[in-house]
Amino acid sequence: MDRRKFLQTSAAFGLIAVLPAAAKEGIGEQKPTTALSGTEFDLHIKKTWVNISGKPVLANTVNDMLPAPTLHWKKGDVVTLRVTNHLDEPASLHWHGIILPYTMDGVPGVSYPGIMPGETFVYRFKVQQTGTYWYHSHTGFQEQTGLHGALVIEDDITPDVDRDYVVALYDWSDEDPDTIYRHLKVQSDYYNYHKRTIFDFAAEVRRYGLVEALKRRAMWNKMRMDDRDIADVTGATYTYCINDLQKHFYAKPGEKVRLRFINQSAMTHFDVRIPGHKMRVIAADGVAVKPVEVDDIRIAVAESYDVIVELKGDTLIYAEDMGRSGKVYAKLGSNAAAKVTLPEPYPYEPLTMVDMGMGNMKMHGMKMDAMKCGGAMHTMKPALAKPIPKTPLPKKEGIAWTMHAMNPQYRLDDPGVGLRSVKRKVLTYADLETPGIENRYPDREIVMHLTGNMERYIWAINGIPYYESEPLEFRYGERLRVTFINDTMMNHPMHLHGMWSDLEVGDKIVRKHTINVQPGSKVSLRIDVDATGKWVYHCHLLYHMGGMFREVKVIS
Amino acid sequence: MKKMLFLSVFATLLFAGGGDVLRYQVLFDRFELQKSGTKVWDVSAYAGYNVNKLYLYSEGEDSSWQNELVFSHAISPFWDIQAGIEVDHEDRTKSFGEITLSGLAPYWIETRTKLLFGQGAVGADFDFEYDTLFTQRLILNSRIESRWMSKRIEDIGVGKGLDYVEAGFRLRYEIRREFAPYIGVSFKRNFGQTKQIAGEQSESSLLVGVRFWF
Repeated sequence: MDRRKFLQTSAAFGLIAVLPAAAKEGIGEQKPTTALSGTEFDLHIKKTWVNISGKPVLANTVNDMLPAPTLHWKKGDVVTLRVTNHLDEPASLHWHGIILPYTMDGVPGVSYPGIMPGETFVYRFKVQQTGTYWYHSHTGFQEQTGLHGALVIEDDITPDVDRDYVVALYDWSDEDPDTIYRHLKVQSDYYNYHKRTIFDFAAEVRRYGLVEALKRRAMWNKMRMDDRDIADVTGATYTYCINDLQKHFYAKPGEKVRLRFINQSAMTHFDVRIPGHKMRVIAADGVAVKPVEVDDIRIAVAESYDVIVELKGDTLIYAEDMGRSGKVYAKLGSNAAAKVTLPEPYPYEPLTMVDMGMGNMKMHGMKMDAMKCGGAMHTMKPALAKPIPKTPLPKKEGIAWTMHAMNPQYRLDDPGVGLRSVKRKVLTYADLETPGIENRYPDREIVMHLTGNMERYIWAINGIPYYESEPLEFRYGERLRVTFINDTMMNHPMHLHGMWSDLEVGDKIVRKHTINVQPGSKVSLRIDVDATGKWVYHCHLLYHMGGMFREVKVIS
Repeated sequence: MKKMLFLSVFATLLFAGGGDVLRYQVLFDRFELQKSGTKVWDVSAYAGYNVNKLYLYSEGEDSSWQNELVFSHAISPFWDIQAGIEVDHEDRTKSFGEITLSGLAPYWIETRTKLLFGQGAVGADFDFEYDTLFTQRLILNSRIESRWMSKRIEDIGVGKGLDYVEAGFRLRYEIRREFAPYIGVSFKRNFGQTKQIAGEQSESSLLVGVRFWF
């Protein structure tokens, strides 16, 4: 057993304090997050005292900043990043969504061995893109402990904005992430305080009558599926944060403000709005899209959206988690002392049969709650001119594959659980289009089922967790179609390193680095395999990553 | 018994879980004082991985108890098969081999169904539990357990045939997930030969206790 393993195990068993007293000397306090620009960057991964929940605790940070410093790059520059690890455990930094050589990608065990304690690793690569991205540790659960920050690469989408802000959203816990993971493993509903009570059932009996109410429950109970399981980790342990606990973004009425929303959370999908204002979405995952005006945006873990707000007066940036267990907000306007009223939180919505992959139709004579609002959901089925040869992948039925979505649909215009009853314009993938992408017809297709077992808290792809899997093989130069079928009741934001994912929205394309796959749904995307080497493809929910993860080998 | 212990530990290590993390839990599901003065405990503890775990169960009241050591292997999403030994004590100590199906049945019913072999007898043991939530923290646990034995084993107070049926209702308040005081009531009724051996016919008792885990 190596030292790290020993420390982890000992900590998990509560035998020793996580940090020896001697190591606490010389630990600094949190500094405000600032921007660094140029082509040379010195980044120091270290322990830092932070106070987010009201009590001082140790975080892992870059240069004592949480979030880590915002790095400003320019397309065409060769950037050099010297990253020194001052922790007593290995660390890493991964540049999320950045196109670069695989040895610079920062995934321990795949791109490189990681950065050992006391060592400096020098990343050097040419910046080939523009937009808003982020970076984070790819080692164990370190990302949850504070190692995440914004990347801004200058673009020319909006030369005329008056203000330009990064809005990093994330979930912080004073609990050690190993403890959070153990809680989930021992009791997967540990953090769920929205479970069904008998009063919920009583209300359904009053509403539908006893027989109908029992029928509605039958399928869920037989399958041992919980319609209240929206998120695994909730506000019961998380404090939701904007930037370095920033409370105010300055802007004057009449000004055009560009907000670069980045979801740097470990586990939290955020629903974001700016009361009294429309948001014009101009980029998704860093890439310019045809502008679209919306009231609400759900930002899945690891996604980013750039929006323009034309400020009318003092307002808020207001975000709540998808499971309605908490919120975070910051003022936006000219007056930091302005009195602003908080909007009503959106109602809690349980999952529906649609999220179980039962299709969009009436089932067993029941009306879908989801169907009552917002009209019929179009499936946004892509038109395929000719069949695409499929390469079968290994599958394993068993403990890591509890549910099979019987009729998974493309639900790209589904706002998702929690936003279906909201009578405002919610951004969906169906609203997005990336112009100017050559959409080659796919040469080949692979199908991956996102599978899991909530009771045992196991996550996998095709029933096979990462540690039992073989790498996926991509062929250099091919246009690969990937279809995900989500056989679970959770959202899974799927992220491929090193290559773009061109999401199929009907016959349109949305170019992204992270694609959220809603419960019981399917999505298809196309990848230009234009990078060599070894990469990874995984669910970006931190506590799913142990299993719902694959290495990708590009073969020529 | 030593041989079984060794084999169980060996089997758990042998089938250790690759990238899967080792974990453990010690759960005092019932730890209570009944109105009659009887002290009751029901503890389960495990260490292991997704597929393979080593479980220790201990259940008893005052000076009579049943302890089990089993190797548990996940066979399907919701079910584990368990094999090991059970040691029962009343006047004397007797041990059995056991094979158990443990898991979550449809409608969220936690069950353990056990087959016992030993002392020239075959036995079966059933245990069902269900949690009803009044609020997110106020939870009613209903449980029923029963045993059947093919032969009279007087040393541990068991008669031939249906031995006993025990039912209980415990209302707990989860101050934390790990710590929940409760009040409740339990009913036990002996049947057939067991009535003659154990003497008592049926009993019911109010109780107070705490459910906790670490």
